[in-house]
Amino acid sequence: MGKALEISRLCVGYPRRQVIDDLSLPALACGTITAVVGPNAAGKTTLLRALAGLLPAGGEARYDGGNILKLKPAQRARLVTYMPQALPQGVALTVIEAVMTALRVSSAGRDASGRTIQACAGAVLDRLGIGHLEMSAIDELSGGQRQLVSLAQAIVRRPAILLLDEPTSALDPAHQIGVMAAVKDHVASDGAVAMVVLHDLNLALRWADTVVLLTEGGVRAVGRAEDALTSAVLSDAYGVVARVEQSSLGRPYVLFDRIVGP
Amino acid sequence: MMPAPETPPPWTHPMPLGAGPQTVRDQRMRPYLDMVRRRRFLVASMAGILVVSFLLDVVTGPVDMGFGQLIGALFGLEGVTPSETVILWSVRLPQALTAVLVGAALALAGAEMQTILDNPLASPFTLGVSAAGSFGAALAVILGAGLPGLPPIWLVPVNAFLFAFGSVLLLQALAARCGGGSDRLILFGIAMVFTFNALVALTQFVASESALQQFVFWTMGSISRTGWTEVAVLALAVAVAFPASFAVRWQLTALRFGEDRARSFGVPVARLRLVALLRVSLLAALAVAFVGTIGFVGLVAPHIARLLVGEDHRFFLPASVLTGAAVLSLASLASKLLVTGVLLPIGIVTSLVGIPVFFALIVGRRSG
Repeated sequence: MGKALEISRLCVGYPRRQVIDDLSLPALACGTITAVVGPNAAGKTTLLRALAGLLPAGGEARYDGGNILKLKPAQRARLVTYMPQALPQGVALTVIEAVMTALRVSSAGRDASGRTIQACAGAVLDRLGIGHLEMSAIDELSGGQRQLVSLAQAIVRRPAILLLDEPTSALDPAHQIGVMAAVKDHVASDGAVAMVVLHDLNLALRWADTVVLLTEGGVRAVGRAEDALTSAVLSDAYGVVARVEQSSLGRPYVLFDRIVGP
Repeated sequence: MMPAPETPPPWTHPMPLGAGPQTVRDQRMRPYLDMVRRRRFLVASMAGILVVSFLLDVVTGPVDMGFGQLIGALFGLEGVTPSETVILWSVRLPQALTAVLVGAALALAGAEMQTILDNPLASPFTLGVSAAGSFGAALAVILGAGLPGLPPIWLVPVNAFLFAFGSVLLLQALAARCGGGSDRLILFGIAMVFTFNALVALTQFVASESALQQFVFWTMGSISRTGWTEVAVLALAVAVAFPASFAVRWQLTALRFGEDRARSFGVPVARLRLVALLRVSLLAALAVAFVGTIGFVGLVAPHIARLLVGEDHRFFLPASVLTGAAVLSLASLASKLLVTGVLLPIGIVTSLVGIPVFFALIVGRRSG
């Protein structure tokens, strides 16, 4: 395998609270998707924001011979793109403008012609199935459509490291599959590393090459999805009685039964 | 293991729509290109309106002057009386240009502020710039306090400028010390408004009757006290500030998607915000210093521009500047026409004329 993202001894915190303490992960290979799962307040978003350089962090995140935590913002932006959970409200821009801006503001997009930028943006929107919305105002879109626009902004930059914070949370099943397939396509064709925060464990089981289960205490489990997510681990991490069963297609899926009682 | 795709997905090509016949490609791109063309046309129309209102503003006044005399006086042709030449060069032109430049400066300041603070209510006046300027002016008018060695005529504008500019520097220092984003800056600004308003009230309380009258007139905003020096200073400030903000148009547009996203796109948000605030404070402080309080333009011109051309800052910034200049130029025209024989303070007219227009735009947009 070629390049990989290697996170070791990562520490992230806010002034009064250490959220991530000494977190290390096995190398995340290029061309793979890593799902970051775990209960609320486990530090999933914090992990992604730290890797994106939005929070000061200690430790190392090595990629291609360098520590991305130590890169200057402009250099890091060339490698890493972080997609927050939601697009803000009240922005008077159209879908195509939103995606073109994401590319324009990058160092690669600064020199490209307007037509090339427009063509790239249009192609990404087509791929995500929202090409017909390109002239719509962002404010008039549904929550799910906004999430797809947000993903398009990230993918159009073709980052080597793609950090997505709950990209499927507002989507119907068809769009959930569409988003995960688009992410899979992107990592496969560009050799990118994707880290995706997911709440839906079955999406993680279906699409992720590696799953990281975070709890407030740190990494609870990490590895291939079907190895990492066992009934015992899930019950312990979420405080809910969980079963991992085989579907009729032979894929594992997770069921939650009830909260673990006293 | 997923098999390697034979052809990469479309967006990995530098020119993804390159395949296929030219006509298909053009058809796909047309809606966006049409929109860009429409926006260029709107910006050009704003410029047209500005030119017309500027010319009307120049020829309107207590002494009747047609376009013939205007051109004659401009180029020193025959058939123009010396008094007409004097009126044009020392009254009409500097005042009309002041209206245009102050409108442009306040609108640019408001547009940048609304973007960097992510707040549609932000304007140079929300953050206490004009309140601070008023206090500086009050000190000069009422107490005669100011920089020593200045000619008396410069006492009020210099004081107003120093306080207005100082208030923004103080704001930045506070925000930098306490850290924090746009919300905190706005709260500091509101605190600043109340503080300086209280200080102004205190100064007014001890003022003599004539000083009080002079000060109240100053606060109403007037372009009748500016000459070529002020015009030159304002023109220089706009000429420096506008290209500087236009140069970061993509970063400003990206900031509309939130600070995290913009930073992840590589936008140096803290620096962008600091430099933009410096531009804003320079523009707003100069405007307050020369013409007093004209609050409405900085808030509304960006809103009108946004309704017309959206928030792609390639169009939003020039549209805001042209709208602000046109609004204040039309207000200057109206201030001479509304009550015959009386020159109303332009600050009052801006609000009276501008607000109905603004309402009409908002209501029209809602129902449209």
